[in-house]
Amino acid sequence: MCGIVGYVGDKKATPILINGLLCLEYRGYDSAGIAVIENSKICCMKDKGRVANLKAISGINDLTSCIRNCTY
Amino acid sequence: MREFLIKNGYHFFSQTDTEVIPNLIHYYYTKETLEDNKFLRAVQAAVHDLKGSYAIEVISSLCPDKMVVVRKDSPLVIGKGSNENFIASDIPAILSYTKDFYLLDDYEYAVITKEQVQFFDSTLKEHQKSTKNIEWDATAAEKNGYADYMLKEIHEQPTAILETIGSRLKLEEKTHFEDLTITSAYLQTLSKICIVACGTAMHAGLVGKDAIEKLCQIPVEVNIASEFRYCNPIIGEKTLCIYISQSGETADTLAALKLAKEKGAKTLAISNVVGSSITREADYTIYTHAGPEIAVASTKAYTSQVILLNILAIYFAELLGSYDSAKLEELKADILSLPSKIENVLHEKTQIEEIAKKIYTEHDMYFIGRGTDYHVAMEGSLKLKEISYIHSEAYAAGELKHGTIALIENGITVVGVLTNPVLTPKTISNLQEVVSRGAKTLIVTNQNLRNTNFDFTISIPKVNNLVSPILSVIPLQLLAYYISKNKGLDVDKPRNLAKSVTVE
Repeated sequence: MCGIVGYVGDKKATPILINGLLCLEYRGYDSAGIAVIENSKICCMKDKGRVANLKAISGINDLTSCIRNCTY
Repeated sequence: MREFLIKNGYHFFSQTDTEVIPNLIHYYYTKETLEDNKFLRAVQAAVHDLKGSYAIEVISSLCPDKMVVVRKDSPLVIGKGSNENFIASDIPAILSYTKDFYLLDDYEYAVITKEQVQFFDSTLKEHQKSTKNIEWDATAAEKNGYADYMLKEIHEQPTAILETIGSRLKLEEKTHFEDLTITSAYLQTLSKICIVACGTAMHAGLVGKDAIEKLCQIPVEVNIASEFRYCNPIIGEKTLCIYISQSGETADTLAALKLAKEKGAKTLAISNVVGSSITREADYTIYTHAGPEIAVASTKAYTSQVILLNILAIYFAELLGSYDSAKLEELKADILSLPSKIENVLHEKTQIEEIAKKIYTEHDMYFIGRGTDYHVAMEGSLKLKEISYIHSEAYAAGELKHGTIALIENGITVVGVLTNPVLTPKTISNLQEVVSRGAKTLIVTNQNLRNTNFDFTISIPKVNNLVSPILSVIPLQLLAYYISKNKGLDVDKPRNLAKSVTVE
């Protein structure tokens, strides 16, 4: 039981992904993470527990990439 | 597969199956000779090796402008934006950005860039697909000032019922469903109807059984989906199988539906989510219009399912001419009165909040009733378990003396549901038995009970017994809610539970 959210476009994607994950939290919440393409490299951030933990990771809001994949 | 990849020089950092997938895709990517759609081909080759259910989104630093998605049995939707696109496991996650959705089929691939979405079948042949407009309001998936989604959804029940009734049922008109063309000739061939579902939806099915049997005189079995699919059920052309799932993605319900189709039975899906998996597999679909339900413990989906099953029973009864038409009109009038009567019950919530303060420290609670009231007792007991973690059981009241009464001792709380005038005296005598053994009693009733010594009584409006669950369940939903709040628990996300049970 898990949920995924993905975004491709020109907006800064982290808020879209985190908000999407919060909406999907009812599907189960052992851990959450996001993967984004940042300067042509995949950058991944994840943590155990609820999406709130992920939100609190330092630097997560500094990611500027617009193509993102988010799993949890 | 993992060993194969390790032999080929791949390293693994976890025990998860998920980690195999990107490595497998990478393996096929390096083997792929055709440059055209190389990324997609690699994903397809890897997916070909996978078993089980999945929804996969793939990104690669080699193709930084696109995502590839594919699914099998797990839900996945694609949201179409302007110069941007979204994917998600469920609609509410991206509802604030778009209302135009593509619903992906099993083994169907989509390649998504910000400008476009291309669709391919399992052999990578490209095809066109049109969007579906989802009418849900984005704010419907927010709390709107309520402390929790569950409390909001409990209060949305008048609207959910009103929307689900819609234009389907009117006084002095034949009941009808858009897109549902069942004939009287077909109904006459039926030897039974099977209702198949899990959890709360199964409890709605039990109430539906009462309605269909009474109005249509067709025998109805209610089955737990995870049991039905393995019990080699005796079904065929003469069986109509009705599947109930709020999300439409419940794995066991979906598998049970496929089984019935193999056996030649006609299938009818009841879901709250347009285009969900069971609606795409079933011969017929009718929708509840409860709006998005976010809290794990189902409330408005349950009452919407109950009302829809009642409307379906009336529709069948009118086709068959199996029930007195004047009485059907009375039932319809009762159904149409429900939204305002639910409001009346909701006004009693402070009383229930006070009761919850007095009993939230309990370790065990029992719910009893007879007939339809027993089916409501089952739902009330499940709600309490789900969100308050208090052990509770529901029993047909007459069964108490066949065992359970041995558990009754000083201070235990017993909840009685009494809405059937014929059965009320019987259930009262069962309640007296537990009172005399020291139990505290909480009664939900629409009867005038005189000279009773129950601790708490919650009165609800009178209504036809077939639809009384829609009123009698509400105090039980609120009771579970306030007990959970008093215990300081997370009402919307109870431990160990998930909303859509997409695994077996």
